[in-house]
Amino acid sequence: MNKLIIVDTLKNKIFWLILIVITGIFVVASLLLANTLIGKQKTAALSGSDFNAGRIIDDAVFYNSNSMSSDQIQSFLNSKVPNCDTNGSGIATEWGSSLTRAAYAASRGWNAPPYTCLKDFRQDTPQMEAASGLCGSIAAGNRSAANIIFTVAQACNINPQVLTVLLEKEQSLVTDIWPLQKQFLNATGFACPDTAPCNPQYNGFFYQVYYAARQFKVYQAYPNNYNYIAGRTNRIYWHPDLARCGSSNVYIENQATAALYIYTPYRPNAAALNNLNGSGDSCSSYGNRNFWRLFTQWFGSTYEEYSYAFEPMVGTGSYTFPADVSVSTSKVITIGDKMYVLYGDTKSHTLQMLHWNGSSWSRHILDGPAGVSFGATQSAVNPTSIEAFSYGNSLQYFYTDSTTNSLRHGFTMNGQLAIETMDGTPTSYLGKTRSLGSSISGFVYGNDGIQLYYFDTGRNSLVHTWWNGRVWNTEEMDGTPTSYLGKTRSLGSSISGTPFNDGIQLFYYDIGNGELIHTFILAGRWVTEVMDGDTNAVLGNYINAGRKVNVSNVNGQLVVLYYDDASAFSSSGRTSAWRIAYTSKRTGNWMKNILDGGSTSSKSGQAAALPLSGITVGSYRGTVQIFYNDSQNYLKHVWLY
Amino acid sequence: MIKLKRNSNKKRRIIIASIAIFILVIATGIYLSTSNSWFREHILNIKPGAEQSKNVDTRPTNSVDYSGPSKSDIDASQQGKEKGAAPPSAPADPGSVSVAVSFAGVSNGSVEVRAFIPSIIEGSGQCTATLIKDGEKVEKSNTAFVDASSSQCNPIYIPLSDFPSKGVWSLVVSYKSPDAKGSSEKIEVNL
Repeated sequence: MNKLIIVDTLKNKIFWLILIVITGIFVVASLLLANTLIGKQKTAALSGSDFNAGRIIDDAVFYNSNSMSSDQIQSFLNSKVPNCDTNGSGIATEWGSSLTRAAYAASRGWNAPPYTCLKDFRQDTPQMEAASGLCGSIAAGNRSAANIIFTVAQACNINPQVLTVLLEKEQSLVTDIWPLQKQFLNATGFACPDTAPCNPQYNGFFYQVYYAARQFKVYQAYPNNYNYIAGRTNRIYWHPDLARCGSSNVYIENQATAALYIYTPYRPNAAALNNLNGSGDSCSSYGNRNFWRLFTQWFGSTYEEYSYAFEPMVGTGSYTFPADVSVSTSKVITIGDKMYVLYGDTKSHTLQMLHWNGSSWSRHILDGPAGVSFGATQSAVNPTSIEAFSYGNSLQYFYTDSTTNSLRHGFTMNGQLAIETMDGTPTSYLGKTRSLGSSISGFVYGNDGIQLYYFDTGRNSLVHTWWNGRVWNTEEMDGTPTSYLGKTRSLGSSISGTPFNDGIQLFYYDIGNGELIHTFILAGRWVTEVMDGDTNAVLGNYINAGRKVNVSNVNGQLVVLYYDDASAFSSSGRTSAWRIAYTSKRTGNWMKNILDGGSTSSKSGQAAALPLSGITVGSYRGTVQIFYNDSQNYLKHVWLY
Repeated sequence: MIKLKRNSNKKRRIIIASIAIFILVIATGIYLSTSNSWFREHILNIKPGAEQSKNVDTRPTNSVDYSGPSKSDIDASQQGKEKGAAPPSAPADPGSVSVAVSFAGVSNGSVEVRAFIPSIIEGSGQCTATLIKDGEKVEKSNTAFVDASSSQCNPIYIPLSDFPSKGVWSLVVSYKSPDAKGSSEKIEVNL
């Protein structure tokens, strides 16, 4: 009987063990299968209809020299050629032959083995002097192909992935398991016309890679000298047989795409795009199609793409900080590893601050009625715009207060908070009687100290006030004939500026024309243009645009946010429906997206119009950080990652 | 006694089964939470903002595929061998080239013409834009220069004031050098 019980128990244990193992295997297998299918789906998703002839690749991707290290490039090249047929001993089945590759090469008049695959290729590289505005110098050495790609990419500020794809597109060098010498000689097709031999002056792997990269920089440095121009409609032919196959009109959106067309001057036709990995028809060309296809398959999107995260911060309900607020305006700044978000609350009549200390948020009330703040005012305040930055070791913030019609200045001094009235009243620090508008922008610029830009709505003008290290100075900058810029404009609503590329970039709103004005320093001189809100504007949108503009320099990318109007004119008039527009540029042309509000196609997907309140954009550890009031009356936080 | 043992076995089965299912659920959860961003964001409610203390790379999304050659890679791996290997197809008329016009339109008060010669790379030629309408002819030339894969015409600008009338003009761009000559197709330019 006992034996039976033991056997019975043992059987049970074995039964359950087998069941657990089988279930485990099943679950793991299912997950792996699902993962594989998802991966396959991603690859299979690439379609010719995704090819945008006017935007083959973004400037930010094309000119990103830091996408891969030399070791990563080497690993990638290794992965593409698992077995190099150095001796040509394999059968040349890929050519439909039963001969060895060495014998087949001899029959075609190609060079004899050894065949060096790209992953194994090395050569002595010469010293290259710096080419001003194009490429830095390169020291002489003995380098692998991967290191040549990396070194040239770094010297010329071209994405090494672009150069790697170029080698494949022109000579199949990345994937060929027995490449011929001539493929290295003409590796990138530089100085190789369609129907004539290549110029031997540029023969050789290093020179081919270097001069191709350098030429892309030439196109960028002298964009007006070549046949294809970014930012306008160009005629692009389908095929080298120009007359038979004809051309089409393409609006080229950026310099990188223009560069690709200058280098390879044909557009793939529908037949080529319908068969992405194969041939099209007699008018198909493949160079730019293959560039786009290879880049996408090997390295991901050719577009500068981010994910957008949205977080409710302060509001009634289950927010990070439950509190009843209505945000009038906000400002984010980063000092070291800390982030400060200052904002005005029209419900409690206070100036408040969120503080990110590197790992968590806290909330503080800086100014307002006695008892709720530790500020000096001790009375209701209504901040209409805020500016903040660090200067020396102190946090400096400035805000326009509509209750006292003054500009207030807060700062930390010896660890203590101090607040003073700066401008707008006879008793203020500057002592001027001004009707201050509801916008201010300021920053520290070079040796010139603190720069402040704000409006005098009594004169519809832009005021420039600056601290030179000893005293404050003030002048009229724009809006009146006697101002520094001498333009007659209706100013007073919103302004934002930042240092960028050795100059100052200012964006402000012209109330009279509903336009976003861009004024900046170019080659030591102030230049002004209409950015948005007019059909002739840089961004070409005729609808009222530019309110509450806010700008930030994030990792060398100039990011501009502002409200524009989603509504269209109609016979019955128009009700404004505000949405936040996001535009940015690193080099080349501006790109515009709708971030939030006004449409389900905005990045947030929110169709409801937004209240017209302040936006602030800043950076934290290189990421774009945005805060503003949502239509549901809470402080919304958006970051790009 | 046997009945008692069987009851005990039943309990044991239930306990073991519960533990097994618990382990599988946890394992699945861990797998999904580390590999699936949708699951993280929507089920676990882990938002990227909660991880800002980590060093976030803002550069464009870049996912290098190290998984080895795909079928299309292998299929295309031999295309380089014949590129430029075949002798250049001899044109019917040696030295005859086609001229491509990449832009022809009015810009900043001038007719702007941009053209290039894809089949040759030389800097010794001259490009000429000829516009004709109602027997009237306006013509202007500029030099060509060497580029990476073609000969480029320097842009040709003709002030609108040089044109006796507005309307549609017919443009042909021609190219001539010691070794080559040719012209483009006719293109309409609306002034």
